[in-house]
Amino acid sequence: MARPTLNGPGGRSTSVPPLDTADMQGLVSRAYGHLPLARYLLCEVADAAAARGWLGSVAPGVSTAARRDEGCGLVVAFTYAGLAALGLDHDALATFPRPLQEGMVTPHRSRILGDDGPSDPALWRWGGPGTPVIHVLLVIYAPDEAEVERELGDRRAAFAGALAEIAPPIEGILQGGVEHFGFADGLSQPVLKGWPRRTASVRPAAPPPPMKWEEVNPGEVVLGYPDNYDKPAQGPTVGGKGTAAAALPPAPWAPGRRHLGQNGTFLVFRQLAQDVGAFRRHLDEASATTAARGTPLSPQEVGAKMVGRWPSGASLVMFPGGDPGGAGTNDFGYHEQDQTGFRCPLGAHVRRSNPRDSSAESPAKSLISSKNHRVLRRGRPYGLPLVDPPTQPGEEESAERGLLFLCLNSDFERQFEFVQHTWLDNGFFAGLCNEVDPLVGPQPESGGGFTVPDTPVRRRLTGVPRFVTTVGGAYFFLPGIRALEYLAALGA
Amino acid sequence: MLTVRQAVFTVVAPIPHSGLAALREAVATIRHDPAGNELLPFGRFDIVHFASLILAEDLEPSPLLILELNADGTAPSCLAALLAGAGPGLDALFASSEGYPGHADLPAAKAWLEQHIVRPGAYHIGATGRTHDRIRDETRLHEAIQAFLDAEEKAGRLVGVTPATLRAGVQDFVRGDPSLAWARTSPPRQTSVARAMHWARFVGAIVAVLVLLPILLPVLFVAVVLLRLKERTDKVQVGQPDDAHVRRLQDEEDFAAQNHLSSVIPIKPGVLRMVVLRGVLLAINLVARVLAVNGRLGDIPSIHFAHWSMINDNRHLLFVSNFDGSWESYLGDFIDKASYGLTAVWSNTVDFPRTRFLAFDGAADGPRFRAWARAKQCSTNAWYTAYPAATMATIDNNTSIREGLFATLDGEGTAAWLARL
Ligand code: HEM
Repeated sequence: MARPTLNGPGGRSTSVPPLDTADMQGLVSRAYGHLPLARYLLCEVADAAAARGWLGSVAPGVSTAARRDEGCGLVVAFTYAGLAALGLDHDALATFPRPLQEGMVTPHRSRILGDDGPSDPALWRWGGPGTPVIHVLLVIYAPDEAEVERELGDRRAAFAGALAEIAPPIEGILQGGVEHFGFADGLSQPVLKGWPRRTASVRPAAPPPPMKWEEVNPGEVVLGYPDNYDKPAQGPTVGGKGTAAAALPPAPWAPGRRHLGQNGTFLVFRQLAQDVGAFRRHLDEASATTAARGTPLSPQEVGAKMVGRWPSGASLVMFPGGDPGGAGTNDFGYHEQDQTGFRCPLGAHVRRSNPRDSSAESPAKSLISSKNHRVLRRGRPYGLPLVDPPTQPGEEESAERGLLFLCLNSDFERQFEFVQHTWLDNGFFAGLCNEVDPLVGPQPESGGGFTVPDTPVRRRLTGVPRFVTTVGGAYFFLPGIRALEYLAALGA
Repeated sequence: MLTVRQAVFTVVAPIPHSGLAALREAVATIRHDPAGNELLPFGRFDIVHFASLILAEDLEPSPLLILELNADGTAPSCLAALLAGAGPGLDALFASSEGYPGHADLPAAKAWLEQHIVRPGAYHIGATGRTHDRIRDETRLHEAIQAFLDAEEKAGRLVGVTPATLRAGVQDFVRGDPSLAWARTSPPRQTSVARAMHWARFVGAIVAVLVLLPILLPVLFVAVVLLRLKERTDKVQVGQPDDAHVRRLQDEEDFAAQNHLSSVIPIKPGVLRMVVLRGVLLAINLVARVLAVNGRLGDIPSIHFAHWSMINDNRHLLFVSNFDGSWESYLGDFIDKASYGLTAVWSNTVDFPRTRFLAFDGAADGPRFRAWARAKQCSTNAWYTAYPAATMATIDNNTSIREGLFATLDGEGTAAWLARL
């Protein structure tokens, strides 16, 4: 079969080598939506040799992108400290990207990620300067409560003596694809070019081609494949000697070395607490202030303006009049119908996190540049949903809830950090003045502004509080299966 | 109407090694509080838009102090103002440089500084024709209108109002405020004389090239062949920049709406590279004067002031830029929107990523170009911005608000003007 040929962002034609999905961890291909329960285990390496032994035993059972897990799913990822603790040598460690080496918490990174005030890493529950160093992240996905407990027990028995948990497991839940503020999430994702398109049991006549908004080169997520610049995404390398190294492909850019990153990727994990009570109160208040116009916005409309989609996920660009319900489609741009933001405000969360074709004068060039900053989101909510209205006063304060934000990318700085810094947290995004993302931005203590274009003149919402607080976070390397085996064989 | 003159230049002075210690201290004082320090309080000069100090210590034959100035007026008038207002500060910076007479001898000090002016080989000004004061005033105008609208809305006076009535209301508000009297008219961003002059140069250059083409063609042919040979073998940077170096640069970044980027890079040896670099800079400068007058350089909308110049006896290419937003977004714009021009310039300096035919590949190879740009970037030892909360987009928008305020507009124009508020 001919290799799929595609047009790179530079208009050049790239042929993507076949994607070795059997060597990729399952998180690359899916968010485990069929397994509603998840446990995130943060561990340290208690004994390096034992940890390598453990890794060798689990590596064959780690879920891969090539197959659907019958029972439970398992993801294994390492921090920089974790790779060092496993015994990876200094030469190899030095080939990891600086953000992974430094970790999520540095003064500059905190500044650009908005981790200040209540999100200060000093206050974090995990991953901060005052909490134990994290080495390994294990994620267990399971179909039900009984299975998750059984799986957790088995996994713990297997790593006993090798790894030690440094925090209680974090429990992720699925609530029908809706995040805690009440909006459908996970609708817009980059689609990797050349990804084998299988259809499960249901087989539509012809699988829909990926939309132009979604296609990126596979190297934007998976290391070793052409990225949007048509060059292989370069990951960490190791010295070429030994049988374990021989299983890894050579790294053409580093003669004599092997590509430890092949089929791996980098994982961002941030625990983002959502203040749902404050969010709802603010929607009510903001709605009340809009009444002075004579054309008030309902609380739901205010929320939709902030998100850029209706609760159902329907785009404000396609459905400016109201929520049509149903499953939100992703086939829309901004340039043609809504360059000025009268439908979807320029500062809305989805428009900031992916401006699509509207960031520059030319829609085509905008789309090319937007696509250089995509991340593959793999998070899910944690904490129980807040019933609306609360059955007891103070209920909202009594429990914490939020989003376990996970995303994959091949370049932390150009992708995740760029989205957070240059788009979400940027007070001057798209010509705006001193306002950050209304949904997730690091608002000043006195509250921030949010401009909603309207006729005859914009509405200006003020006093927008910080709804989302970072309470933990770390950067991880998510190795391919052969790389896991290489790590397990270190020192052998 | 006089043309607004703006000067984009550096003062470059060799510093003896013996003078470094004292100079580092002086620069640190300025860095700590660029607007208000006691040596060179840039904030007190309402002609200065952006300024920086770069102490390039590792150069041969001697270290250089580079004072970058982007200011209203001419380079000599700007230096005169600095001498008059901060003479002792300039003494602290240049005292150890050979022949610097000290500000007490004003004419001699001025002459010395003027001798050390380096003019850009190519430059860009984002807010064409807008002085420091005008940018500040137009920001105030927008803020005043914002407050007016918010008050009108609160008082229920926007209920059922038509666009035309609303605009008339804003006009009345501005007419009623004597402190905004200046906003009733608006000077052009660029006079037709200035525009005609730049176009004449541009067209003249094209004609000259066409006329000389028969002579140039064989020369060009040889040059291209030589260039291709060099391009195959020129050394390129391998790997990532030093981590500590990048950390130091990042420690200085992302405090204001804008950031600063500076680099001093050795030019590749040989006559060919020197001639090519000069030619490319000349061409870019001609094109920028006629095409980049609406705030955008090519497709990049975020540059306030930037320039390249050759310094240190043409051994090094200096680049300084004052741009909106993050380093990542700036470099992303370079790569996605301006890679040909940048490659044509920087491929003449050492370690640049592999190129083809001068302008191809190079900066288009995003990851390699970013690594190179970081490795070659130098720390800006002190940096001043006169408006840390204004981007090119807000500056241009504020000017457009003023321009449209009392202009004759149809229905569509009125709606578009109101959308700017
Ligand atoms: C608690 C925090 C957050 C909440 C509640 C939230 C919620 C949402 C919702 C409701 C959507 C629309 C559904 C969709 O398009 O898939 C969305 C889209 C998106 N969000 Fe978030 N988000 C959060 C944090 C973040 C963060 C931290 C980032 C990145 C740094 C991010 C990046 C994105 C992206 C890239 C999209 C897709 C935009 C598009 O392609 O159109 N989000 N988010």
